[in-house]
Amino acid sequence: MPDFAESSKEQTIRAYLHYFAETEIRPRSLEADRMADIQPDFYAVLDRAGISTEMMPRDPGSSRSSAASDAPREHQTLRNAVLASEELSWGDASFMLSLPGPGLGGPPVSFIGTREQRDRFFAIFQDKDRPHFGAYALTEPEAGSDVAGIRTRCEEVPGGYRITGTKTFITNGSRADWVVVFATLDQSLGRAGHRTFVVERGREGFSVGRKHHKLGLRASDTAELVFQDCFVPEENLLGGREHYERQQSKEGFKVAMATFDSTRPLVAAMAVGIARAAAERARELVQQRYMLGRGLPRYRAILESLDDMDRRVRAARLLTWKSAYLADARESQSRAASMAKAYAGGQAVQICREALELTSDSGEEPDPFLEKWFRDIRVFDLFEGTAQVQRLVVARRLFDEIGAKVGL
Amino acid sequence: MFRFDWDEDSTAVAELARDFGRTAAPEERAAEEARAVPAALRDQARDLGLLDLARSAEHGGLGLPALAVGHAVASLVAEAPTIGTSLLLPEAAALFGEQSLVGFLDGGSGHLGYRRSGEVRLAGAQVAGTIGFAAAGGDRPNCLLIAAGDDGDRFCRVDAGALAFSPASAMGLAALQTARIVVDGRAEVLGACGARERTALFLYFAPFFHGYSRAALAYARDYAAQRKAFGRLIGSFQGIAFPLAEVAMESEAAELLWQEAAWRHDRGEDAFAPAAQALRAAKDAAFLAVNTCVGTLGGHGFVDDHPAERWLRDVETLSALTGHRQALAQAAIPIETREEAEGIA
Repeated sequence: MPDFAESSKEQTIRAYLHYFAETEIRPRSLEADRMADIQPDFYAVLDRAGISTEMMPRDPGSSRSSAASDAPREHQTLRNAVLASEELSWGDASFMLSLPGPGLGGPPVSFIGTREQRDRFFAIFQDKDRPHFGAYALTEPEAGSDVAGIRTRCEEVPGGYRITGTKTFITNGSRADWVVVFATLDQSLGRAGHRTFVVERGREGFSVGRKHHKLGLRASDTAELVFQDCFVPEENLLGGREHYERQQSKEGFKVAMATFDSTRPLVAAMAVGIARAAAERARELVQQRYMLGRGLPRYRAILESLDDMDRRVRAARLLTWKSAYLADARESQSRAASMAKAYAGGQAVQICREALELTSDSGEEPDPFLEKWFRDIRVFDLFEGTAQVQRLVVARRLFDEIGAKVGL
Repeated sequence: MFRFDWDEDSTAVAELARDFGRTAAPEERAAEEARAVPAALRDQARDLGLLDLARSAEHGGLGLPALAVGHAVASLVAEAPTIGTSLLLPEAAALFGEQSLVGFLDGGSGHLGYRRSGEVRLAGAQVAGTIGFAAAGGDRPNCLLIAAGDDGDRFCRVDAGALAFSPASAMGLAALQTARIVVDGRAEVLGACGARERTALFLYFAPFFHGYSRAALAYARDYAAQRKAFGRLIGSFQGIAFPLAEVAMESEAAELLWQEAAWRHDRGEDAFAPAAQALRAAKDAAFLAVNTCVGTLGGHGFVDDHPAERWLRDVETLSALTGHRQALAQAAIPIETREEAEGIA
């Protein structure tokens, strides 16, 4: 039977993270946005608070992994991760994206990495002297959501591979200690030619290009990464050569897709957190503002708008929860993940706009938080697959249910 | 920790309802033309216990939680929307141990925040008034209705002799036999119809819309997977496929809102506002689904060779029977918010 109760442990996690977001993130938010960076002192605060991406799932697909894996720990479920993601993003999604840890690079390393690779690449995060980051480099200037169309080449050479190409819009790209990079042996092989590597910072031929100046999420690091004949040793091919030989084809592409299945619920939860923050802020400000001599709450249309925002936030959260639940249950959930991402992203954009509109049309200076969230939220309809791509996934899965090949 | 799976008992009841729906599906069109559900089907539904799905244990029923009842209702309606709705909608009365509910908004409707022009008033043991548009409730010795008393809405059991039915024309749900009902006579006052009872009704009604959404989405998808235009299957056009994805998302969102509200209600929590929100979302999603279905079929969606046009008529009629969207929006605003607003100059 469906059950929506949070355990006492989940309530504790949520309450703790909310308190942290309220007292440590939100007060830094506007300044970080102006600086386009996270205040350096934040990481010490984060460390003292014991908050890390350990709350995020490192092994969402462990049962499907070909390599031996540790039993998934209870606190690493995607369900806990979406709770954490929502609360921290309620504070500021840029800070959520800037949490030290493997980030979006974590799932592919966990998903197909060998035990040796997981130990080697995750070991760095045990070092508490300074924050460490992983990153996930899939998008290219000419291939965003079209994973099959990536052009970054990997050429087999003695002892490893040489990678050449450019990746763009990479979260934590300039901060990362290592980056999961998707490349192709030969574009004509299509998905079968895809390979996935971990490339450490400092390797010759690997450099950070420009940092992107963005509409929102400005404190989050988003960079271009350039690979120019960058040599990567064989042992950095995720899963090892035998993994691809065993799977024969399409494994690199599958890794990218499986990563999306686990990260889209997290991104959806971030959108829910921002939308919730905007809806709460609007409700708070509406209480203080007047129009035509009447308090705004005296207008039924205003109350209905606030209520409708609440409904849409809850619906987005439930879709997100369901996709996380299915992932934890090891059930097929790419449709659910895409629905959550598309719905949460789309509704959150509308909610942030409505919240700003409700509170800024009464001769008052626009609220800086609502303006910031209005800018921040727009990307949630774009990254991790645009709104159109999500609809494509959902529609394809609908036809898959009846075994129809419509050529979509 | 939150979860979304169904237990064995709920699944078994839902599968029973679904299988009955599949049996009934071929009779859908005939039921509309005859303006009645075939007697054999009604008997079969009764024998299977489907007409008593909502009956509480204290009234001799299975005592299924709202979640399980709605799961079964949606499963049946998804297979046979018109017959399923015509059979099960009046059985909302079973929620309160009664036989047939006529009308729903027709009492004081204080919790919905508005009053209808025609309403049924309760004075002492006398009820009088008009229910402008309601399910006629079939051939029952007595009916349950909601009347407005001086101290709030009350459930009343009224002898059939106190009710004068005249057919009310509606564009959909012909087999439900909608009627205008004039009430005048003695009533047995059963108890208050307050927020919890309204919540139970909202939660009972929403799954009918979920069923229509599921049926329309499946039909449109199946059609798009076999119909060709410009030499291609129309499902290959994003202009067709994306609206179907939109329907899938809105329908799922509506069902989850309902699930959460029903879960709260089953736990004894106040779920009035979430249930009103869920019913409104269910109505919106169902309209989107059937309207998209008609659009996917193009001209074929406009003619009765396919059920899409019937479902569009049905959903709007069902919506009229189960609560004004705007009233539900008003109801969904938590009372404390309204009180706060009242306190502001």
